[in-house]
Amino acid sequence: MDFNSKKLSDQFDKAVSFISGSNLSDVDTQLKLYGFYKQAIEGTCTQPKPPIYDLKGRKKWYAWSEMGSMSKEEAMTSYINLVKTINPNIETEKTGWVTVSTFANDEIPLSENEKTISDWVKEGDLNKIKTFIGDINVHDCMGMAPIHWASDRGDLKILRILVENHSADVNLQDNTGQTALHYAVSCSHEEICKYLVSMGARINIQDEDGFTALEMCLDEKLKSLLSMN
Amino acid sequence: MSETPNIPDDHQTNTELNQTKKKRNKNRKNSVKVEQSDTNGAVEETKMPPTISVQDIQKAMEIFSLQQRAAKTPAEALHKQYKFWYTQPVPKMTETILNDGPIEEDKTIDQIRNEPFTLPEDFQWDTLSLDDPFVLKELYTLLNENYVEDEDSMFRFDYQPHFLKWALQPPGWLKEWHVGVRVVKSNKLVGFISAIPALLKVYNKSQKMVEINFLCVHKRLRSKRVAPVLIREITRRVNQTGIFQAVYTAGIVLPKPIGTCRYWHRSLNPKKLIDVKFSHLSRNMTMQRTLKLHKLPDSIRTPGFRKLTEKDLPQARKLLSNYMKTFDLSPMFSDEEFKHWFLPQEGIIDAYVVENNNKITDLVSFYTLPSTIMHHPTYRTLKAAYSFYNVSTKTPWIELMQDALISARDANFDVFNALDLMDNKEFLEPLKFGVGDGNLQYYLYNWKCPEIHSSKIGLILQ
Repeated sequence: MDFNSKKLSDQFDKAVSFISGSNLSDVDTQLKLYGFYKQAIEGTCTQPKPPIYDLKGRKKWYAWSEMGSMSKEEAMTSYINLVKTINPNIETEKTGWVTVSTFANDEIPLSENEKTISDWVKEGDLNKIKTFIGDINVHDCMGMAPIHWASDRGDLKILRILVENHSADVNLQDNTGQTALHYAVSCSHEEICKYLVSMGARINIQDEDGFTALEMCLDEKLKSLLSMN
Repeated sequence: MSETPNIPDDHQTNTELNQTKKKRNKNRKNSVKVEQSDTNGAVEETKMPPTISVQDIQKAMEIFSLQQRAAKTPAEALHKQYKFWYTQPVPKMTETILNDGPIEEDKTIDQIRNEPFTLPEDFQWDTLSLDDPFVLKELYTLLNENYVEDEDSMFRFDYQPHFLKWALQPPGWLKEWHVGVRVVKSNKLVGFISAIPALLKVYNKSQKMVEINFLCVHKRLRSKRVAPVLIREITRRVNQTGIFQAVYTAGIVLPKPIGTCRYWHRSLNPKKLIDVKFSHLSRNMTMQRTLKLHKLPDSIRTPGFRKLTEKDLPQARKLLSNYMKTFDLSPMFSDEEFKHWFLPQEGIIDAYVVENNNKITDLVSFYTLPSTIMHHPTYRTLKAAYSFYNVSTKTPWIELMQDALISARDANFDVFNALDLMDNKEFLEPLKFGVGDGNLQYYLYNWKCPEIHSSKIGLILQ
């Protein structure tokens, strides 16, 4: 089973167990779910139509037969989508008697071809960044360049590749006038600050509000470290 | 409450799962039959009237879904759990409940079994003496390693020993209700369930109940049907004292929740939470903005906001019990109980009041429940505060709870958690709580009542 179909069947299981435990009152939805379920598990309906007096059996049979030759994957997807209309949180919810709840993450991941160099930096994708060909000092839709994201996220490995392999400009300003050092300082990323300064980052560049990285620094230890240079 | 996702029923064994589909279908039919005979005709197909009503189809659909559940994986586990729960005095999943009261009558003393239920061979019952530090440590270890069953989970609850004593020895506690299961040969503690007494108000009725908590079965025992035996055994021991109702909570849906709550989280230390993957930065969010967004004022803002002390207890209890009357499910604390649950204890429970002119007008409280962080190079523990009971009569919710957040931050908590129950929705979003991925379902045992909206639930279990 490849990753995607494993993921689909996991989601399907989750949706099925949600429905099993829910109190659905809408019969049309129930029958639709039944049809998708049978199609997903058993495929196209080949069973004979139940006799006229078996009303329930016929309703079920119609619900399943209507699926025609729909693929199992499509049936699973339709089932999941229908369950999502009942419980939009189904994907992000944890199940288990006792679970430690954490922040729900409902962001839809980007597909590989939608991603930019900034996305790879945010995701910490070392290989993609190493093999990147193009302008490393380019501003993205947020007005930030890769070096700003690497500093903001506190990723020293990525930052070093940007600066040392791709010659990223350590004093590049984003569209609010901030440098990589502004980001590193305001996030108290000590190692990043040290590295940037050692690579020639200037501490007195002002952002659009007139603040230098040094002035943004609230951490006394970091402040004295910066002023030493 | 912890439980294995696989409670095999009496007939089903692992080998059966590997049988051919045909055979499985056959078993499915059988299991549905058992289901029907268990339900006093509620879903009996043979007795259906000749015309098909919506209810009939609903009932029939329940049977379909039961059949579906016999498939494999989580759905199947749930099916098996339902089979157990449908032998218990709990409402059916499809039941619509309009009135409230017990499901079955109180048992007379000779209707209550005298001997403990039978455990699988090689295991034996042991009533735990939590006053013995060694035994307490054994319970701590069992829960720490097995309470959260998801093996892939990045976080596990780390209930501290002194916290467990607080949670399990409130006024009126009984040693007999700290039920352990040990391996005969090695004496290793491998199972636990507990009950504590509580007087609850459900709608307009007050009822002596127990709160069931800390149901935990060692991961190596998850196929041995121990959890249902634990539940039956604690029920027996509680029944022997003349109590026939219980309240409990779980992350999953079982027959049948009286209400559903969602966890919300407020970052106090966003950098660490993101680092350990408790939280995350969405694609276009910077750490810089996140830190700025979650920054709290340097110090408490509300005049008269201070830690609750012993002399505040009578006033604070009165304040809380008045507020509790507004909910459809709430505890009725005695003086003694209030003192136990609210008097601050380092690393267990914090409580603050707002006092002006000798009058206490507001109360906030939160308990300490750290989690172990699995497989992280630098951090091993996440320090979490859980909102307990809060009352606002004078200080607005947002100001009051902001001071609670500041207090928690100053006490080095990484995150402040709250359920969306009581009036919590008043402050969750404004104070930058984010929605969590965990639900908490509330259940009553041997008591049925109409569903209660989360904002009308006024009960917190540890």
